[in-house]
Amino acid sequence: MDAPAERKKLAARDFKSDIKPIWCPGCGDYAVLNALTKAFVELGRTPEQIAVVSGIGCSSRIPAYLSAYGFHGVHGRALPIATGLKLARPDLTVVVTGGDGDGFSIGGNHFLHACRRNVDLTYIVMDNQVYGMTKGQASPTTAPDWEGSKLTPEGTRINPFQPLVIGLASGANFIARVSSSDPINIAQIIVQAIGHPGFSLVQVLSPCITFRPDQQAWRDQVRTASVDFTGDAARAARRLMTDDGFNVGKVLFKGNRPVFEHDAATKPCSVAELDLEFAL
Amino acid sequence: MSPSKGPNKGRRRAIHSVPELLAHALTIEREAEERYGELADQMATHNNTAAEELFRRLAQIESRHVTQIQELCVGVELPQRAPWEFLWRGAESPEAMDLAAVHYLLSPHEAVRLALGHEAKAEEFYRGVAGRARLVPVRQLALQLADEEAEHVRWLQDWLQRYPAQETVAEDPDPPMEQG
Amino acid sequence: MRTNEIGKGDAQPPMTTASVSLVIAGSGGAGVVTAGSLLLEAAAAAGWYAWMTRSSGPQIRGGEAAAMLRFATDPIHCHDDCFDLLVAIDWDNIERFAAEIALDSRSLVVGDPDLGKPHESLLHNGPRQAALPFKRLAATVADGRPNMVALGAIASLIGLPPQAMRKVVETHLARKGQAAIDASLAAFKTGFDHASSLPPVRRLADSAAPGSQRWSITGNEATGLGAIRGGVRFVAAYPITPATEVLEWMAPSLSRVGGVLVQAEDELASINQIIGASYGGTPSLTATSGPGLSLMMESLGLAVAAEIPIVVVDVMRGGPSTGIPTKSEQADLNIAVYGLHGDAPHLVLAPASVSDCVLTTQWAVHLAEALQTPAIVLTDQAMGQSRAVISRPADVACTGQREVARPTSDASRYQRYALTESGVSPMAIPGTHGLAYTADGLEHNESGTPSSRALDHQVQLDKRSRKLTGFNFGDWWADVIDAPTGPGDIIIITWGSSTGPAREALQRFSDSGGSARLMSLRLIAPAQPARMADAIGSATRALVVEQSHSGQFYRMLRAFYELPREVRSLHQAGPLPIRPGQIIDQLNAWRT
Repeated sequence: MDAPAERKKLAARDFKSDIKPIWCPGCGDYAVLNALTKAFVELGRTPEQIAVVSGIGCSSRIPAYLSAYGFHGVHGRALPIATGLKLARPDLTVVVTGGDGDGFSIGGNHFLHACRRNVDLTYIVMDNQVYGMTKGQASPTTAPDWEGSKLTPEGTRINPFQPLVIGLASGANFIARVSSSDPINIAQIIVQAIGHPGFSLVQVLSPCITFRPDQQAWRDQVRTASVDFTGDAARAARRLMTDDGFNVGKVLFKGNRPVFEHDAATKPCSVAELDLEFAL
Repeated sequence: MSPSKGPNKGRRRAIHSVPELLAHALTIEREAEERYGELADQMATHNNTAAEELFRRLAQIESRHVTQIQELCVGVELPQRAPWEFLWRGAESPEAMDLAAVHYLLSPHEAVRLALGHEAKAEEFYRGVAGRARLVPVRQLALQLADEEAEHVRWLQDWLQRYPAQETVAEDPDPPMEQG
Repeated sequence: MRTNEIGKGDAQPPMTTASVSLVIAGSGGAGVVTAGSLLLEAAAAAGWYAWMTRSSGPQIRGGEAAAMLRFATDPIHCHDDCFDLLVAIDWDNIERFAAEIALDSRSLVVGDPDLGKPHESLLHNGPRQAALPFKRLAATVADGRPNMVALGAIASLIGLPPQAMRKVVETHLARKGQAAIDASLAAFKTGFDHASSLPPVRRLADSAAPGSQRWSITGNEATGLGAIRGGVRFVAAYPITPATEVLEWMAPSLSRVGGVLVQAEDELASINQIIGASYGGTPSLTATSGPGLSLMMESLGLAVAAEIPIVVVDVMRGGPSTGIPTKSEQADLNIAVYGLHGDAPHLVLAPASVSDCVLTTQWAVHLAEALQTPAIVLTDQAMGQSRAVISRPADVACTGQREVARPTSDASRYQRYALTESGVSPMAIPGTHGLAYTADGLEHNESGTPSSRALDHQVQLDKRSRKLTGFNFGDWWADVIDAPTGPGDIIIITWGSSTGPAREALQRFSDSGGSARLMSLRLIAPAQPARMADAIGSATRALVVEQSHSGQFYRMLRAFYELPREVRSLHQAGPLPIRPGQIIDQLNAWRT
């Protein structure tokens, strides 16, 4: 087996597995897959140092398409799987991937608490405002007047979920929004997200070519955010509350909130010494 | 779309050395080869054999271009750049076909048309480099590369004849399938 | 029925016997639970074995409470048929516990005459009655408390050496200062001295120096210890009655041995966190009760499909739904065995006693790791929240042994789910070069790639099944105990908390000349038909004993095993524990 120093320098394609994605050609998720491979190269990681954890949905298929360790869990539960993995194995780089349904509907509760807990994870949400894998129902981020689903033919008529606002309020330590029309920018933001301690949230506007052809218009609607990141949560909150959802390409918030980690024991002992508590 | 621009792009930094230019050129061809290969795989998975074959051919051609550029790089120490440090005018390198522009029913004609557009972008990129270059060797190399791209453009224009446009837009009578 | 004679002692000396059972009851700050704990510790100091359970009203504080204790010179694991003594510091709402406080004509009920009369629900079987004015006696001591007076009386009645209580009080009240210690001991002495006026009850023989070292421990603590001994170093869990103490004990203990405990936001987070940690290579566990186990079903299936070892402890309580959170029942067997969708073979184990919680949990970790599958450990409230003085559990050499994939020079792709003969395929741990794979709940081929093909599904189902059916679980799968008089032609089959009363019934049955065999299953799933057949041997009658309304265990045995010609099911819902006498009655019915 090669010693690490002798292995050839890795290129982005070394981070792709030989499993070919089943995503529709034109899907925004391809950009994220490319961006991840580029980011891993720039971070200097090897595939075995990385674990990619996902739930259920089109975008959650990503772990199998990467040559890193992967976990394709059940619907909505990627964040707790990743939390357990990172706490047990702080040496690993743990990236969580999934969609807006997986993350904000069934996974909504875990999303809140993952932001609160602020474990060193990077959560990349490929937001296409629809449930693609189950044939096109509205998701929590779908606009209330979208009438394209048989389940909600008059639109959801519900206020859409605002992931970045909720993430900020709940305690996420790094927040950014990017567009799949700029994969290189996504890679750059991912490098920063992984490098920043605590829970990093990256929302990717990732159009669904099959169920939301209207989202092809996004590429003309997105614009580079006009200001750089802030470390002031209140300022970030004000920006987000007036944001129209199309400001992309830059980090919005980088905090220094305390990171949840496994602390070393203050009074270490052996397993046998635990018996002493019970002995009469 | 107005592309997101990386930190360097606003400042209109120019390419001022041959190694820098070669690094860009090598990346252009490598990414073109990889992208065409990726698109060929997508088409294969979606049973669009005609488009798959076309993309594989384009990938092979780009592979030759990679070799050509590598020959130019012999003995040259290329600068290591992060992907966002390259000076593309668009979001990605000019010959990396836009992932959002394809469709599983893509016809070979449409694929060639898209490729043509990217080769033209590459030519435009090199001409731009040449125009801003301060050093003669840089300008000369950039013009040489631009001319090669112009050649590629002409090939692809020929191909358009070989793969005529379809009269009707491809249509799939089947609805999308649920996958879980 | 003897008349109630306050202050009159009995002419003949009281019998000494192998065990004595008593209840201390009271309410609203009477300190019943504290009194029970002190008494148990004093008994332990005196060299006795002990068993204590508690019941309380629904109030968070100030509610009515009863501490039920049993002491013996040999190890005991359950309550007796009846209590010898009920000491009521007051009578407030005591009828709540009437059904649990079984009394007969030999029992003695002692109450405070200034606080009213015993509730009639306690008097159905005509116990003897006596009085001791705890409150008035406590008032004769500065800062004296009625519960300490009661303890003194109890100690005198049952033969507990008073010096045993001295040490316990000194330890407990050390931080409150000498005055508090003196007050407590004075109140205790007052009660002790005045008890000479009370009628006698069974007394316990002085204990010879016990043969083995003894521990004071609860089932929940024992479960936590077994887990750590088995190698668990990551726990994520959500508090739920009656499992919370497992987590409370494990939080600091796990940390001291280098592990982590996370309080998760719900049970779904808990089970998925432990799946993630286990995928990363760390043996992991969670503890919950019935409602939490229900929530975890989908993700248990994920662990089965992706072949990831985890241990889920279910401290069973009264069901269904919210049920009776503070009481015991053995009615989660169905969901533990059958609750996963699809064909999802996995492990289900059940300790037979507080002491056995250590071994069984440790074994569960070992099995889960060796077989790369989830293990559900079914304990219950009766075991989990009872405190027992037991013989020190033996150290056993079994820790989790996961077959880990090692990098080889073979360049071919790693097959995470390779079709091995045993069904167990080596598992790559993240961080290992060249063996990266994606774990998946989707059905998959040998390399882990999702597959909907018939052949892949068949061979993977076979693999996950043969992992378990082909494994040699050894002798620990069940405890088989013959009466000293021999197995006879009767076999008692039981599990979990019902084992304690069954053991006692077997002993008494044997004492009266009967013969029978007792089998308590520690491994509930997968079924072990060959071993069961061996254990049944030539028995022609089986008595199945369990605490469930519908007889879940009986139905499971019928489904998976050949049983003797004649089978009777002794089953009842919680919250009342099955008593040894109920089992004896069934056995005796077969003798006539």
